[in-house]
Amino acid sequence: MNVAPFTFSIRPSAAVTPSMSAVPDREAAASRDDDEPALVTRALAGDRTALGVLVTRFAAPVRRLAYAILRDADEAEDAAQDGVLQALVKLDRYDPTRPFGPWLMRIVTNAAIDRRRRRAVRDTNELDEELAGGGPLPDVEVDRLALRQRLAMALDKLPERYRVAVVLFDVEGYSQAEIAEILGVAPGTVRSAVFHARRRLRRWLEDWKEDGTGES
Amino acid sequence: MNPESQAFSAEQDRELGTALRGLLDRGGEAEFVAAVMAGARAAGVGSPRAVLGRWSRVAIAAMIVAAVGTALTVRATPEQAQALDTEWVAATTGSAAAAALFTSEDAPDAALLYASVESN
Repeated sequence: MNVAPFTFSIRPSAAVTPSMSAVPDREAAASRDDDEPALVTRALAGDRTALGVLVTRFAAPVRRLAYAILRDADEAEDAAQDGVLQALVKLDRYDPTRPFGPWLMRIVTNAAIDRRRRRAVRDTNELDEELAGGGPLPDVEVDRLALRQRLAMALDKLPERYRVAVVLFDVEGYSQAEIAEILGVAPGTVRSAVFHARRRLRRWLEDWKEDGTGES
Repeated sequence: MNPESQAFSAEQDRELGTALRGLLDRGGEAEFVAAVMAGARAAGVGSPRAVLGRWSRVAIAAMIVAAVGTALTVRATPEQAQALDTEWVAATTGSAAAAALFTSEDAPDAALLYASVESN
């Protein structure tokens, strides 16, 4: 498993500043949305470069979303691919007057949920293996992996709708209205889900940080 | 408005978002893009055939609409013409039986023919 850079500071001594640029803000997302209908039109006319730009732009968000739903790397990869392919096959049904991202995310969400319903999710424990294997690690690295594991466990404990809502809102930068469209629920339901997800995640992480050793 | 709605911040929680992003990112995007593009190619997305197929669907739909429109127009026209002919024959001959005889699309009925002759 690839270990992605993880910059969440857990101790003052670690002094690692969270990379704020890692999370897209809504203004940037909105300006980016402007050219997506044009890219879709070009892709439908047979422009493979435009198709490649669309797929590349959404590769990371759709994979994160599928992983948040399925919590299994292999299943998530297959679901994300299935979802994006389904969207590309019916690209001519996309309404260019509306943002492309929520339309695609909705298809990927449904693909991931369908996959979860069809198959029992395998109980992988890659993070434990990551901690157990590879010999002694520096303290900062151990803390980083332990926090990562703690966050993964916290995320696993969240109900699916909370998990998806908080990822779409705080990681991907979608608005409440867009998430409501993606999930097919009322905006108030999204607000409630994000509120509860944040509260639980913060509480679990704070408990762990206060403990200092990472054991609650 | 309930308390939880009042406590909800509509701003992104960037610290939490960055932590979650670090957890959910797994690398290997290039392989993912390559796999999707290969799948799209196999499914014929954006291929000349798909483009032509989409245009031909539009063309077929347009042809169907045009055909239905034409059929309705053609169907309406003879009825109108027949009505005028019937009126004209009736006015000219002064015989409703003759009008019915000359404007009928069916073979003449013997009784109708007899009635027409008798009226003249």
